[in-house]
Amino acid sequence: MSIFRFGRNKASLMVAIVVIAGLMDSVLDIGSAMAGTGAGQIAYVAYAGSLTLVNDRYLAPAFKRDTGFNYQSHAGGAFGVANLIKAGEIQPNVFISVGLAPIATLEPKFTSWSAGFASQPLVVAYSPRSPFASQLNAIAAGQKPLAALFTLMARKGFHLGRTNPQTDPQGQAFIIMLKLAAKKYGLPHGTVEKIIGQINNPAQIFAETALVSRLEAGQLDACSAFLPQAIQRNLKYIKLPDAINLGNPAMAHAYDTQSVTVAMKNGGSKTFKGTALVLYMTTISGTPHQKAGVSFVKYLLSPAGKKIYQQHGYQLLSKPVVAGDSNAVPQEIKAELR
Amino acid sequence: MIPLLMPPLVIGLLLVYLYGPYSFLGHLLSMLHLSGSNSFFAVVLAEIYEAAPYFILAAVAAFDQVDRALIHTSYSLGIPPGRTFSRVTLPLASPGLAVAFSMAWARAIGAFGAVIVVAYYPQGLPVAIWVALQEQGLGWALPLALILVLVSLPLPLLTVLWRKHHAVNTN
Repeated sequence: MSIFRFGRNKASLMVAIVVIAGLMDSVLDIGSAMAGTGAGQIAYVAYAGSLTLVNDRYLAPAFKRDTGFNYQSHAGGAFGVANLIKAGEIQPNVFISVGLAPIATLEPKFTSWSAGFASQPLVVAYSPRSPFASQLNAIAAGQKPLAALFTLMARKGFHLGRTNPQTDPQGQAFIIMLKLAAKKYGLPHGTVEKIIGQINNPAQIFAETALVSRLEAGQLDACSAFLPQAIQRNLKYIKLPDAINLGNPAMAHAYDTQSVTVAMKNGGSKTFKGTALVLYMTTISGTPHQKAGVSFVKYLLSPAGKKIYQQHGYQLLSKPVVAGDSNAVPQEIKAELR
Repeated sequence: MIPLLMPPLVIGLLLVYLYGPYSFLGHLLSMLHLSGSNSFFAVVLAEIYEAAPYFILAAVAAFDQVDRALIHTSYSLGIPPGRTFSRVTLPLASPGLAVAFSMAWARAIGAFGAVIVVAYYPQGLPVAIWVALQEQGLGWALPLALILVLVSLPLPLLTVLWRKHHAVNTN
């Protein structure tokens, strides 16, 4: 009987712990829900994961303060986010993507237009603790030619990190950048292959979320990164010229000369051509709170919104570019695009 | 307990410090031609870190359930501690240990947070499910999830059956 009582007490304690943990979780959930369902409409913004910091921490508070609308967000791989929208899993009223391709998958049901407003050039981020740090520092400072970077990365024992070219635009862009660099600097034949090994080299490919952390832990010598990432995370980095960094839409014709072909999971292969890494945004039709969504896009295109993006390393386009059906752009946004 | 309290993603990042290529352990591993990054070995290590607390907690409970009087009786008959452990304690705790192992197995096979940091590519099933969901949608992820269930379920089922069989025999 006493054993039974002890067991029951123990069980009660366990139940109490679970209930308290659940309550704590609920309190947090209620907090976030209240933040989202406050007064008025909600701008629900889905975007490529690399934009999390600038959107959630800097743009959203300013947007809420200046417009009175509430804000919610969903971040992830741009293609993944587009898939969730198509499946009806999430109902954002705004979608911001790196490149046009993810938005194109939503046409024509959810949108038929998009506006490019900024770009995020590639850089090579490096670890100050790397055994190659002195050489990398010299290249970053311009004391050594940039071509030396590629020779250095091709050396045996250099630990390079990059994202998966099968699934991540940065992974594709990095290889295309190397090919552009090989051509521009007349690097010896086979240098790109020496740098990356095979396209899906397991020694180099890491999840986007883990790549920079691995560099910060001093376990990589260098890795691919977007300029805003490097600035926001205070990384040491080597800036690349427009001709190879995929950050200048005016040079799209040059980027287009290089491509990367990757094996896909279904057994086939896919070729990705070089393209400028431009951020595009659009409103998603048929989702709730359209007015708040339009207001968010307007705010992002306003001088205040663009300044926040610029401060965090994004390169603003001299003039936003409209892709798709320009007649479908909401009237309120058209004014900002002029 | 620490791996249980921390988000698995953080465990993964700590493991990067512990056996990344420029760490002391990473150096030792490379001398043995092993890699703590993106390898089967890395997957197993990360899974062990995520699953070990579940096994340890449940195993402690299983050993606590063993009747001390039986152990003391064994000692009083002059049976040394090692033999008492293998012939008395372990058999009596084994149903609980089997449950502990099942729990740890379930946790290990579904381990994601630490694994995605230390062993993203080539991909284990949970990471492959996440990538498929992200890049190709639910239609591609669900079949992989089904495979994961099919791979992971037999062991816990066998444990349940064995426990029942064990209970019948004991009674």
